[in-house]
Amino acid sequence: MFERVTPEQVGAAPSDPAPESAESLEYEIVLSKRQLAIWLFLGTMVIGAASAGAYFVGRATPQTVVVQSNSASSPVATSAANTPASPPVSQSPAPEPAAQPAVIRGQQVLVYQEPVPGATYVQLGALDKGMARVMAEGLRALGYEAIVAPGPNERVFRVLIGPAKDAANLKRLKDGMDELGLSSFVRSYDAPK
Amino acid sequence: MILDASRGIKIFAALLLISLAMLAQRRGFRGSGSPRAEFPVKSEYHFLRVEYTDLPQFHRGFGFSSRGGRGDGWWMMDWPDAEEHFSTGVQRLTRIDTGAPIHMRLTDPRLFQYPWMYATQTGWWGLTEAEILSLREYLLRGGYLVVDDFWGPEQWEIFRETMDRVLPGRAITDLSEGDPVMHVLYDIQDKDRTFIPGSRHLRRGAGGRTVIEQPPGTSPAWRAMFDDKNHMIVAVNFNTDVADAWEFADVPEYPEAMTTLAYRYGINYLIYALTH
Repeated sequence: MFERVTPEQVGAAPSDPAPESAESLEYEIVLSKRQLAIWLFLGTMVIGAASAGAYFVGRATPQTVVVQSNSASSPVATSAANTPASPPVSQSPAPEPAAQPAVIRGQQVLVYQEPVPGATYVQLGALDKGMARVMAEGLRALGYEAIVAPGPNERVFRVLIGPAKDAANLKRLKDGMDELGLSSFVRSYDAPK
Repeated sequence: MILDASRGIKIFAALLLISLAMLAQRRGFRGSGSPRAEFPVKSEYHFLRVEYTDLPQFHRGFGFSSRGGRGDGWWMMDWPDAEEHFSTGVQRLTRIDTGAPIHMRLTDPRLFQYPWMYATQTGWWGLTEAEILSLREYLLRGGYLVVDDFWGPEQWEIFRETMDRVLPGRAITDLSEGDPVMHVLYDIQDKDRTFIPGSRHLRRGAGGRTVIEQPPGTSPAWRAMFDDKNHMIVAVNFNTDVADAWEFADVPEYPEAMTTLAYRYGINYLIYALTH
């Protein structure tokens, strides 16, 4: 597949100086169409393997989110005939809103919490993160100590109320959910060993 | 064929690096690991996505509309993932009897059985006269339309001109914090009239961070059209992408605060439509 060639063989001008030694000879690749196809195939395979590697590395990389906040323009009543497209706005990154605590009844509340080990809660649902937060904040507005806790995987979050102080408190929480028409069940978290 | 060995190696190495760099900048989300939602076939409420005619010069050909759908036409962007997630949200967060999401042509007479419908990419619609008449009748008979995910001055003009054909001379108004739709169930505040990004506005930044990039020259606008009784009949989400927040509600990389806001907007629109 590899062949050592002299400048004459690759069309060098006759006036070119002849090589003085074997070390000064140029090495070139001479490929048949079949060999070229094989090399292209192998190259594609290597690129594919590298791409797959990069993809899985990317998947395994933890992420945070930067969200820019942009306020809408002030309300202006216009007619369909002359409502303008909105003007350009400047872009400025801001901290991710998800990290900000919710404001319930004027108080800042951290909705996302790890459950207390060894405690018992009433679980309202296993939902996507946005839906879980809406539900938890709604329950907090009704006076329940609701949190969004990690679920079985990174796509699912648990909405919990509690922790229950005792059996009577647990029953009150469960009855409260039944009265609201929300299906729920009791979930206990293992105590640390 | 004769190749210079060192040049060939350099070209190959360059191709490899380019490929790795492109992968590092990938914008897509990993496939959904969530099971498909199941809904009753018959229910009080169904998410209705309306099928319309594209402007010929902007017609969207066959391709993926979301992680779970393929087809052609702009009407189907984000279908079916967006409506499935949103309908699940309505199921779990309200007492509305929610059924399977559906879609149908704007000229379908069954349209009038559904009080709430959704249209996306309305900056590229090119409604026929029959579609214009059907939409007008739908809105004047008490139907409620949510339009979403269209961007920039050119698309705004297309949308505005179309709505002027549907409801001639009727105003398109910016929503304010005082409008009933902003409080009918959830309190949506002035600060919430913000930009909800589409997946294409997210990219992986330094250190694996997800960064949101608002398209240059755009500003989010939350607008509305009203009937003669001052009931809101069209919700206009301009320069923002509510449906992508529904579509990617189960994706860890999508900003949770935006998903939360998108559920609140959507459910408020729905409750308003069903109660006014």
